[in-house]
Amino acid sequence: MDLFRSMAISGSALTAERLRLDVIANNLANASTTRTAQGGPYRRQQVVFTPRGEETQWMFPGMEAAPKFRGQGVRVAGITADASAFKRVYEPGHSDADASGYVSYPNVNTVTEMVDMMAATRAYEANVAAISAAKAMATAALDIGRA
Amino acid sequence: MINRLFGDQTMSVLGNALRATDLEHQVISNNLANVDTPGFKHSEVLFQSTLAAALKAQADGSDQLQGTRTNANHIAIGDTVSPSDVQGQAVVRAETSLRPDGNNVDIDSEMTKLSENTVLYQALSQLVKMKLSELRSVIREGR
Repeated sequence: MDLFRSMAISGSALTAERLRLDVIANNLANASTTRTAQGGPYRRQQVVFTPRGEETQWMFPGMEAAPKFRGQGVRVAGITADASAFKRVYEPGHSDADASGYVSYPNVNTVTEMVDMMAATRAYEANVAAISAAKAMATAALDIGRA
Repeated sequence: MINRLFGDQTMSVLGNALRATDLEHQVISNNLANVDTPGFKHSEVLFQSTLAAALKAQADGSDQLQGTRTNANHIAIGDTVSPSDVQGQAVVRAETSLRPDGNNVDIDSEMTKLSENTVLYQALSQLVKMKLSELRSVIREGR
């Protein structure tokens, strides 16, 4: 049944949004990390989404009937580093301060992260609603066979 | 005999409508899944307008008039499909952009379509159920 395919489509979005939420949580957790294994402060990370499966074909009503839909949801193409500049704070007493007394703090903006987190949560909820709808539809279809 | 029982186009139209609604749900799910994908263009399903055109052609008899095509590249004249053969078709709507990243998924309209589509599917399955119980009643001689 194709309703399971739409559940798989929504499921791919749940996975992607959850990974996005993980990355946001990691950014927030490291909002003031000044020392990393690579050296220097923590660099903000962000996810890149890309559609999964082929695109649908262009068709016009009345053309040969081929109701083939090829969309398969979304996937995370990668996690990229935000190349923007670090915050420089004057803290001469800090052990990571440079010669002029400035400490480089991560390029994480807490407000941006919170907004992104809300967007990810809402998108997650929208996909959960789509799964519930698919479930209701499958139940209705099963009800046809019942007396 | 069985073919006569299911012979009218109600059953096949209802079946195709259920399939089209199912396809629509997949399309909406995919649009919602890609709500944050840069450059993604939403799709939608054409079914009701195609079915309405086919029913109109059947009612006013314009499906009787057919142009002969001797070459596959000729434009089809009066080449309407019969209502029982109308299938849902997914089409990409690439003309618009809602955001600077090129994405054109409108989450409000998708959520509205989602609940509308669910109710439609339930209504259609109820109709199939009623059609079948009519047949059952006839088979049991109304008892």
